[in-house]
Amino acid sequence: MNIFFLKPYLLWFLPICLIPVILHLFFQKHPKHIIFSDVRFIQMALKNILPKTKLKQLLLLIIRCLILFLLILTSARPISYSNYIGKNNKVKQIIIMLDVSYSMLYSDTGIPRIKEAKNFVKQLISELLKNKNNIQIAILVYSKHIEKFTPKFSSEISYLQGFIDTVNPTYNTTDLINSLSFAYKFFIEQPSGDRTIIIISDVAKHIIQGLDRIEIKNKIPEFDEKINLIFVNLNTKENNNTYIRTINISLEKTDAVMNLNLINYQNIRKNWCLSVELNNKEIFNELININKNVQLDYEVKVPLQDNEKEISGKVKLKQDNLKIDDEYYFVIRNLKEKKILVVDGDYSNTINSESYYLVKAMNSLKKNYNIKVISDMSDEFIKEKLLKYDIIFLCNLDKIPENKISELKNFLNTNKEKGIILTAGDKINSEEYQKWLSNVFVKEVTDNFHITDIDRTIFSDSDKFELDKLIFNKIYILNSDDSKILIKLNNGYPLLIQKIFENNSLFIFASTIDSLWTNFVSKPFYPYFIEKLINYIVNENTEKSQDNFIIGDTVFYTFKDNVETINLISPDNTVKTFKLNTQTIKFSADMPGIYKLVINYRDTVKETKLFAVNVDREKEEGNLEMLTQNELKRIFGKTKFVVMDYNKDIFKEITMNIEGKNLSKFFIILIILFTCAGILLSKKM
Amino acid sequence: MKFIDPVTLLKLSNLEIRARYVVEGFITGIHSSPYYGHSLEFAQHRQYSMGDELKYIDWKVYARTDKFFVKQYQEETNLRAYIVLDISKSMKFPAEEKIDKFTYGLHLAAVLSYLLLKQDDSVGLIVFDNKIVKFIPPRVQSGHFSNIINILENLTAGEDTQISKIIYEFTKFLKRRGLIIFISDLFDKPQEVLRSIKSLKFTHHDVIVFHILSTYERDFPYTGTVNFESSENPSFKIKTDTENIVREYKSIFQTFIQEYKIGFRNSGIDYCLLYTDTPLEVGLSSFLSKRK
Repeated sequence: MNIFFLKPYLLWFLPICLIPVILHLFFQKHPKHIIFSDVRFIQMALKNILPKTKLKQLLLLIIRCLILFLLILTSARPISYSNYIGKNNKVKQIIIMLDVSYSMLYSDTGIPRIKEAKNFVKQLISELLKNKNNIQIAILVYSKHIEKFTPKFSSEISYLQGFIDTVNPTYNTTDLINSLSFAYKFFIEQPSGDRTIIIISDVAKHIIQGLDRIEIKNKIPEFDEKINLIFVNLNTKENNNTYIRTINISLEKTDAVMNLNLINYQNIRKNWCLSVELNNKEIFNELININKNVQLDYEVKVPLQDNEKEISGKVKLKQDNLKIDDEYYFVIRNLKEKKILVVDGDYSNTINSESYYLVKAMNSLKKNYNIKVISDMSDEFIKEKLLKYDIIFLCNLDKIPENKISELKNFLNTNKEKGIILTAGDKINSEEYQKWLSNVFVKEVTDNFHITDIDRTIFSDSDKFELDKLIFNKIYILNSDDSKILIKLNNGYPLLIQKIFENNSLFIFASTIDSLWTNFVSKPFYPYFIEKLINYIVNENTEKSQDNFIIGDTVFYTFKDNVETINLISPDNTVKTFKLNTQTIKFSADMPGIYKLVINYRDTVKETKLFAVNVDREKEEGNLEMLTQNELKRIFGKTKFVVMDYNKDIFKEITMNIEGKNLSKFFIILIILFTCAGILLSKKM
Repeated sequence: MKFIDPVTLLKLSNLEIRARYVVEGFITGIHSSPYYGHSLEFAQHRQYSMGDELKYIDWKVYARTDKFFVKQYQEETNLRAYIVLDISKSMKFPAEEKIDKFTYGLHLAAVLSYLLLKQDDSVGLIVFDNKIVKFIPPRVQSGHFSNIINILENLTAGEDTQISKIIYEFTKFLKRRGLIIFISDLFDKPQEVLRSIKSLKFTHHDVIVFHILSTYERDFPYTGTVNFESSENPSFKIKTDTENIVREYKSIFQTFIQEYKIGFRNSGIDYCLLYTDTPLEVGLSSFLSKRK
């Protein structure tokens, strides 16, 4: 029988056993000095008892040394182990759980932990199954969920090692509890013999967060305290990781403002080089200083280029040992400066003017929009090139000059994300509009109209407003054929309709947007209505789509009918082609970076779309601080668990742990016995 | 009868008063002394020689013969007592205590001297360590007690002990048989001591041995590791854990006492064991009971 220790490093404390000897030899109490009448009696007494006393003292010294020796041996977790495995030996089932989350990409030796882990598992399989017929192994590869697993327990080394060869790292976060649940179920489905779970991980705090024993039992109904847990720790105490936790990007007229949240999980205060790239071109570079274990909020303002509709980029910290979370990819849609033209049929600066109310309502949009107000009666309108505008308000115009009608038609057909808003009023001459829009203004009606129905895709927050207090005294009845009614009044009359042209839309409002026919302009709903309508026109095609995802999110896009195929170019430049039967594509992004969708229309027109995918930082995967024994004890309660550091003796340690007998109890009994013997002996002395 | 604690006795101003106090108190306590004194009787005339005291000149004979003669008297006491006091270094123990064996021995010697002189017995004093330090021949005069007290008061502890050698040495001073009162801790080889004291008995002396021992020697009240140094031989040191040896020590010490007890009993020598916490009256009582 061999004895092996699970914590052999504690054997370095064995010289402590010599402390009683050292104390005995060198640190005896300074004796009192007494002049005695005749020391001959003492000498004789000493002569008589000396052999017995010396023997007792020696015994006591040996017992003290032995107690210390056994204490150290016990703390080193002794295991007795026999090489002989008989036929009747119990079957031992082992599940090896291999962590492939992105924190396992951490590399302090040049080799990522996942690669070390794979090599380790292959060797472990070989060590465990060598010359053994009673061990069965299953492998679960996990991150935030089970990535892959062997369908049953096996004792075949080549099969299990071959399985490990197929394991690749993922960019997912870790959820050990979810994966452990699967492992416990796996044991229930294929029960037999002694059971052990070996978890190969960085055993960092992020793998189990905020759990205690009660919670783990709630989370894992199959949790069994009798199943041994062995954590193989690939982590080190000196972790070197600082990362970008979150980025919020807001766009201004010509700039993107990025609010970064950075966190330093290193034990030192350090300077980091922070850079921002837009379209693969570095436009910002600065040294920043982050204290240890501190989050830092940092604002970066970068100018956007006018001619790009979509801008991809990344914020980058100078790379540390975990590189994947040092880059944060993003795609922003360049709003540029939008231009709005307000053509007022009754232009004046007075409170009765439509433009007066409109400009007030668009106050919050001023930073992104350039707003120009002109009168329909002026030469300016005649001379104005309408195509350079994005949104045109035509308010209460009695007629539209002929040369402008063709310009407006072009406006609606040629460019995307543009729109015209036509509003009614007392000056409207319906016959004059026949040349452009046949029978759109039917007739004026006077009544007390209320909004009864509203399109919530545009006006999503309309419930927050008291719409029943909006009164429209007079409206134009609008011809809503071939149009979409966005707001409906009582009696079924439309208040706002959308006429969709080839690329853009014309919105017609049935009442005035000043106070002439309605109290609308004096209500809080009015600025909200204007703002939402403008945003809807500008973002009509894109608002529903998302440009930034995290790993594991489902990327989902809907396209128009005339799209034939879509090529998805991944960050590693692999191309995947989707042939569209339905007008949607759906896939899961599994790699961080900038993805490019090349959309092929039937009429050979090509369009591209970018989106960014990042690793999930919310779960603090980058925090590599190790779980302590106490934390694990709190979580796993009475379960026998051991955390083993990755070293050359680990295979032996695991084998012993699985196959050996724990000698700690035996040693504790010996300690108690020796202590009693020591007490008795010292009393007799 | 109340005895006086030796420590309390020390509060009295000097040795003489203390001795008187003990004896007077003791005698009053027992009402009478068992001894009766004898007066001095004229023996013969001797021709005057230089140095003789003038008071001893017989002036009547001078008147008749015109020559100086001095009277010589014959002692007619029944007892010539020698108090043999050991003042070796081992008696000066325990050094840190008020009553050590040396002090106790001095007091005992003083008390016995007074008692004997009061009964008109002649008392001599022999003080010794490894040699005879003082010798006062026995006398019975009234001033003799003061002489003895003076000597006792000026004594200091001497060297190591060689009892048997001393006994053989002072035997030559003993012209007549008498009473030898031996006050010592007897820390010497018991067999040799017994043999030499027995030799006194063989020469028809009465011998009474007061064996003075300290309570510290009896009880061995030490704890922990102690480095013991011999009082008589400072180079002789023994380091030991006292708890380990206390039982064995006591046993050996009792064997030592027993050896003397049995040895003296077998030789018909009176033996009285006194510890330093024993009232002196106990010693007196023991003495008188043995002298009846």
